[in-house]
Amino acid sequence: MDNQHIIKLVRNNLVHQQLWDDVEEAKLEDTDAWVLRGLPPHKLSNDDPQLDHEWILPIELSQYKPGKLTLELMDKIFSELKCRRVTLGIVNDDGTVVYYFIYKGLHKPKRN
Amino acid sequence: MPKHVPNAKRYKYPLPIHPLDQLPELKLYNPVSWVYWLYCYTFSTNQLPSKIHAEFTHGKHLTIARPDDMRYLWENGFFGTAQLSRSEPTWRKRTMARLGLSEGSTALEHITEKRRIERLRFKQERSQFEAIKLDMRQRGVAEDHILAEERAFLKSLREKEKVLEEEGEVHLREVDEELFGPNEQLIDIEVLELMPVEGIFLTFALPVLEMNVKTLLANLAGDEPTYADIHELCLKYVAYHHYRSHGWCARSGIKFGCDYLLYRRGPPFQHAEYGVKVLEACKPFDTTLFTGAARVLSGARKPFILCYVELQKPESEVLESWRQGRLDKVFRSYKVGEVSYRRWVPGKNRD
Repeated sequence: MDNQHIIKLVRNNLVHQQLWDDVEEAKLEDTDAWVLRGLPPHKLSNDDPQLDHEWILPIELSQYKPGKLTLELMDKIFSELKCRRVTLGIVNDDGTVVYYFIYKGLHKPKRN
Repeated sequence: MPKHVPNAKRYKYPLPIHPLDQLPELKLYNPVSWVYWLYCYTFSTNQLPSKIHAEFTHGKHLTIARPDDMRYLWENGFFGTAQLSRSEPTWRKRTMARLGLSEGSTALEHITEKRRIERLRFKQERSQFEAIKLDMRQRGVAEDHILAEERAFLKSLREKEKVLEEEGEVHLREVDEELFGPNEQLIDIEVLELMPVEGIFLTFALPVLEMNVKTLLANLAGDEPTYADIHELCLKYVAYHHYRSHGWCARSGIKFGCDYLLYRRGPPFQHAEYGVKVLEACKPFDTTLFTGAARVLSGARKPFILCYVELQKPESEVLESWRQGRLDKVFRSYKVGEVSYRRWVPGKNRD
């Protein structure tokens, strides 16, 4: 999945709107997708044990569908990054970026 | 500029093109006033003094960079979303406040952020206390003692809240350095982005953007599109134009999982009233999509509108008109119908 053209867009959103720290770009080895890694200003979910670096996968809304974002791709990403969750940074056509969590396997629902 | 402009005045016009409302008074008994009125009427114009410059960045993202233009489009019909704000371009103001370059800001994002942090801290404290409470119960501590502890805990929370309100020190991050130009000036990196349908509306329906229709269409769908390439965009635009021309302020519905949100006047006045999903008429749909979107919207007290758009001409004819840049002919080939969808609970909806 080619997402290089939107990596800067999501990076700027994380750094200058969401105020994340040390945000870095990286290309995955197994696929042609790019990801971002950074430290949010506070825990993203109340159930997280502690504040930690997070992985972000930028994706355009038009790519957010079967055939582009596949389970196979997510599997590759999880096995390469060795992380608990990846956050999708979905770039809409109106200038907003919305973020959604993807966990590997089953995950206990968040307490409200 | 005055500090506070009331919303009714700031957002007086629902669209970027204004009616001729600066005409002199017409006195029926005074023929000179008729001549003067006619003179003013003939020579006034509601065209913009200069059209707004827009360009494509990062591929298909249609953006506006001049701060005055961004503000104009926001204040006259709420067009576009600023890339680093919730919708209105407030990034510069927020960043100035964050870096201690201006007086405290009351941008909406600030208030929301503050409440969010308060809620988060409350939840953390609560879960800690609940662990203590559980422990006390297991050790067989008397209930009224636990209750007293709980009261003391809630009181301590309230005091912490007061301290939080007074906090607010400046913290410059390393990455913030990239925001300053050679003269130590804050660079405005925020741009306003228009949805493709807004771009079409502001060139084809209203002469606002300084971009011709052909360039716009070529950037949105390619130079030699097939009907499949333009189909989705046409459906979305026809629905968008339909609601705009009925006086609704339509904005993207991405945050609620639908296509558009309809506001009676605009985001600063009240919450959106409806969520709209644009569908192709006569094409079967997965009904779980409806229930999912409707459930999210009903949680925010918004009825869900299914907007069916039907093509009434052959596809080849529509495509030919598109290629000629005759958007009036393209969009006239569609018809709109709609259905409102609401979850009904027999025990609750008895009125």
